[in-house]
Amino acid sequence: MATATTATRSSIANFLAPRDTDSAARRHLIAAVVFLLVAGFFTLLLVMKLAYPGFLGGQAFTTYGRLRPIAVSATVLGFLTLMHLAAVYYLVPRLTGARLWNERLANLGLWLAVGVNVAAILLLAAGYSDGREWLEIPWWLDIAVVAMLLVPTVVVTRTMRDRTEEGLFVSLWYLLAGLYWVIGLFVAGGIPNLYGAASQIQSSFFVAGIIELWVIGIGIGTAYYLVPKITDNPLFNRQLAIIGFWSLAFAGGWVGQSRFVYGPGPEWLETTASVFSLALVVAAMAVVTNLIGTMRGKWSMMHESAALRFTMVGAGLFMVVEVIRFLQSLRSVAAITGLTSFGDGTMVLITFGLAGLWAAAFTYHALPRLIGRRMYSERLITVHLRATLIGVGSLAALLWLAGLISGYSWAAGALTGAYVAVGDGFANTLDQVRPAYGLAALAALVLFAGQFAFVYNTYRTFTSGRPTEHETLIPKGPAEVTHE
Amino acid sequence: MNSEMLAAASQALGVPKAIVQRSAQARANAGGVSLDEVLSAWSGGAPLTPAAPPPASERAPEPAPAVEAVDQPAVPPPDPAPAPPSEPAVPAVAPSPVAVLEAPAPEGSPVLEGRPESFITLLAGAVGLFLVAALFAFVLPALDATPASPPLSGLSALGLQGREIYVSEGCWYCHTQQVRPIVTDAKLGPVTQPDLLASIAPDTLGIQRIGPDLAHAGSRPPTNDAGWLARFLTDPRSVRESSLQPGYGHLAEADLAALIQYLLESR
Repeated sequence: MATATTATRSSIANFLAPRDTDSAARRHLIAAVVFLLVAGFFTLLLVMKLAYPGFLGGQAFTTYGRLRPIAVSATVLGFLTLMHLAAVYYLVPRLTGARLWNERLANLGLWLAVGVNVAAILLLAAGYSDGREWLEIPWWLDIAVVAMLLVPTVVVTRTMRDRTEEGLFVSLWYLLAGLYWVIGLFVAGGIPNLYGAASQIQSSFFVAGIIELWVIGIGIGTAYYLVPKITDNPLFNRQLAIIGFWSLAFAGGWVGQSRFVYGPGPEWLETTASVFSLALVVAAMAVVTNLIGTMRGKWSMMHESAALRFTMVGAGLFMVVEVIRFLQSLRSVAAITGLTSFGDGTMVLITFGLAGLWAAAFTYHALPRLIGRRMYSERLITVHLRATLIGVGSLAALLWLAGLISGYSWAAGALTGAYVAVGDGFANTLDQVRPAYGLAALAALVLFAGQFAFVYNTYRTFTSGRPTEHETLIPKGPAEVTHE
Repeated sequence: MNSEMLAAASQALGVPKAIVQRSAQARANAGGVSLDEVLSAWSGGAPLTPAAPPPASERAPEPAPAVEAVDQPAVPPPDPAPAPPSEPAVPAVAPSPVAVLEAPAPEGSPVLEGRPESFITLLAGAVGLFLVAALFAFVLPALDATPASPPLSGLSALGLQGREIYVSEGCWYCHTQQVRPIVTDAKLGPVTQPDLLASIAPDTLGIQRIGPDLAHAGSRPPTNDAGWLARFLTDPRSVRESSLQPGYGHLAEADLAALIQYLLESR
């Protein structure tokens, strides 16, 4: 009887938090894909609200003000963070030659992460908001977020100590640093009771940091693994990799205040934000050049490898995003685009564009190796890429356009004296923008269709993907090294 | 392959064995000498034939083989596989149909790329730069922007309650409460000064204007009219057909009254 109970207990433990190799990567990937569906749905709903403000009205939790933090949370803390953790758990053993330290802890961490995400969505829907952008969840849930991020950090750091590869590959730089950076960001963001301009600086520091150092940072780490691995080419240039990494590390935390140029914060901070945005353009150039160089002689592989296709298209968007973010930070540009939808356009290009494409690239590469099944449908992969590009590209372009129209009509109204963008005058400017918002809803629909194709394809891969080689990592343990 | 010589060379160079071995193998292949000769030279023994470098022990702790490897990245090694055949860590063979992945260097040959690198050093640099950014781009400017004696908010108890609704319902996602000193913000009212912001967390400065700025909503029409605000917030499109404002008819009456009071007091 006692043995039976023990056996039951251990089988439950193995179900909740298995110890087997790569189980953490596999489970995080599945969770991330589920959250992509949630994130895509809420983002679609949010953009629909701009086109049809009365749509689904009359409920507190369906107002724009409640949906927006839910959509962001499901995208950044749900989909992208979980996918990044899957990438970390998949790549670190392969890059260090060591078994993941404590796979069970990593799997337990997933439950915490899912719990935090579900709690965040429910609390935000119920109207619990701290009122700071991207930090809306109550402060005690911020502590749970730090705990959820400490799990992979501890696991990875301990794994690093067991490594048998002496080289520290470029991917690892980003994965390691990203985990420490994101914890630092949540600690900085968690400092309570800042008010006025200080509170705005805190939130802009946090948002920009999460974007550059976590969402983009870990994505670069993934891209730096996928391209050399798939093409079987050595990394093009190590010096470029060094320049790219340290430019990001140096500048990533500085660029937040570029969103609030001419705002109440210190002027010098806006200037440094602009200068450091240029350093991020350098970082993007270094990374993208390096990836392109690594592709040499292997461009034809773009046809056969979906992962390669998604990585390189994502890299292209990375370049676009950093250039646009630099332009946005310039005073002359910000005088028009500041406080308009322009910034949201860039944001959607980051979350569903470059980061989403890199996350998909990782999935298309890792999922078949993790479960021993080929992706279910190549056609759905093509649909995913095209719909994402068309959807996210036109959504970003329309929001940029809406931003420019807003900015110019505010200025025009004031300069001509025809109206001022206040009170009834604001309606004059809004009428110019509404068509762009209407089309944006259509773009969001296409984007969502692409994400749905991805999620469905992943689901069908589990149920009916054709078998392929299941990759198992046999680490070079210390025991094998000693005898020759 | 002599493991004692390998150990000696490793100790002399201060470089882990695996790297010494790979580098020695590459050197041996390139120079047409035997592996033992290279190892013996590196461990401080008999110097190599003229093609070989001077005894590397002179240059320790800088790892001579690694330096050489990095200096010639364009020359492909004779054996492009990540590990030479004599690599001690031979991966176990797993049963088919499982593909075995030995812990690899996906970014090319370790002979070219691999150097013993400390991840602690990397992390120290990365975290250090982050802390510098946190200090200079967050902590110091936040202190700089916090007035020594912040003004009172000037809000009534009901207004404060309304401010909480304004924050929790997310009005600030679409309405700013900040006026900038530029032409787009002309006639929006006095420019927002950090010293004049109320000492209540969080700020309501906002992030973008899908709707109009509300910094001074209470001091201009139509938002200085409680009746208009009540009608507009309850059913926005009956007041203004093209409005994007969500309806807040679902708010409790007391909450709506508080929210209106907050807007009226935002002057």
